[in-house]
Amino acid sequence: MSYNKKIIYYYNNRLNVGFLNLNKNYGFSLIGAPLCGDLIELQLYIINDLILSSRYKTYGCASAIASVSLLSSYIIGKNINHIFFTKNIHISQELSLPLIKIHCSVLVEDILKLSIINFKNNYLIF
Amino acid sequence: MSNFIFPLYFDYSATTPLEPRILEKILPYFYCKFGNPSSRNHIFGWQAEYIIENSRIKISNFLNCDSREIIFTSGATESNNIAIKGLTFFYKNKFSKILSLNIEHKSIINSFNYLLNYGYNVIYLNVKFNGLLDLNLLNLFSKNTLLLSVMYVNNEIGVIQNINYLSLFCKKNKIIFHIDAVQSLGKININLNLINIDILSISCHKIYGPKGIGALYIRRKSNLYFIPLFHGGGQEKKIRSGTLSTSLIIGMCEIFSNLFKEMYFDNLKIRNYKNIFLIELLKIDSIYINGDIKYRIPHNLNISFNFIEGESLIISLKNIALSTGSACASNSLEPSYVIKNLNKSYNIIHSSLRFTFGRFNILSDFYYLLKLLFINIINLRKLSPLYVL
Repeated sequence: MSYNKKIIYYYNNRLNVGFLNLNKNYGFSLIGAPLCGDLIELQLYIINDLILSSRYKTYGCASAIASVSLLSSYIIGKNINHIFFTKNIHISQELSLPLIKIHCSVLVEDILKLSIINFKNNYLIF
Repeated sequence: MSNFIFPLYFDYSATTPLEPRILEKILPYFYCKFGNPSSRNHIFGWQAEYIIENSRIKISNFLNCDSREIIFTSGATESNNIAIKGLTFFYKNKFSKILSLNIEHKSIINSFNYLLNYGYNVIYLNVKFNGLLDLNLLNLFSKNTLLLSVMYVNNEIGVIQNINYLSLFCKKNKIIFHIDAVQSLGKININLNLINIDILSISCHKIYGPKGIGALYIRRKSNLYFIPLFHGGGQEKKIRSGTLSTSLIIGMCEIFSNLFKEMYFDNLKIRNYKNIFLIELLKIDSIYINGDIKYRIPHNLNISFNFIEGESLIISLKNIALSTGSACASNSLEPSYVIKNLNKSYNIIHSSLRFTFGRFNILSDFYYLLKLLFINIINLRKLSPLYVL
């Protein structure tokens, strides 16, 4: 697979890698299976509906890592009600992903929504 | 590609660079001695025919067979296709069962799948965990079988099959035996006088020769007939029609005469380099070697680094040419089917890397590769959610 310069840039300069030890005000979710070759987990630190920081870990190909690292730096400082409507087209157009790697951007869209829903569920219960 | 300054090549199973000594000998045959070998009327044709027959003899000397048994084709894919399709179409009424392995090269698997449309009973034999064929399994298919097609050396995991036993088995049960010896050429001594092989296909660009030339060996004693896939002027005993290219054949001849002198020393050098590389690599924890470690050519090393996807590791290794599997399948999304068929667990399938070494690698290349591997594996394992300290 030959990748373009944008994917290589976001792959090499990956920010926000790791895991935060938080007790409350966070949303966390995990998607994919290592059997398929892609596994993404995302963690958001949210106060007053604003995303203050995000951390991720990924097992997968270079385009999956690049699209998560793009997303995690893009969402910081945004409102969650606003960011909830991010579509996979936005990510795949920004990175100009090759056709057979479109599913990476779909996974990234799903993981963002799942982790926001996870945060909202926790917020309602406690 | 401006940032790729000194790319190092570790993918010698895909293809090899042309030996510079050969290039000088090829060049006059493009312009001065350009004749068509099948034109019998003038000196250009006679000269070209003399050259081709002479080089046929030199190639047959290396394989220890008769010069009339060798047929020039355009490559190993064409040789395999002629061997499988041409043979099975001729013996269509006689038998219906043909055998092969499930870790074979794509050119064999896809032509077997094509034969399914014509009503043949195609059976793929399973291999063991180490990539070797289970020889007890063969006895089930001893009767009413036409063809057995086996790879001498696998292109991805580099295991050497037990050809000596298989040839005796085929001779006993009167099965036609075809082997694909592309990767074994120049690494193992092939003596066709000792081993009873009916059809053998070889390619030139894996042994530092020019691309676009290969050969097919057909044993004269076994009296095989083929239906030609191309119909034309009837060159090469009416099996493969088409004008032979004198320049490429002279390159193939020179390569084969060099192999006599250099094969042993090359293999010794590469074996030492590979052992140094492997011992240094054992410092990394949780790595798996795919394929048998004993019955394996010294050039090949297929390793799975656990918790890391193979493709993402390749991209982070800058200026280094590697591959996850064979070059034919590198454009698709699926992991390598060879390692899938070894019945390993999922994390080993997705994280396999193939290192193949060759004549032009030097010792400092290996240490540069090791340094980059150590750094990038630590970085990518920090990224992976599966890796928990």
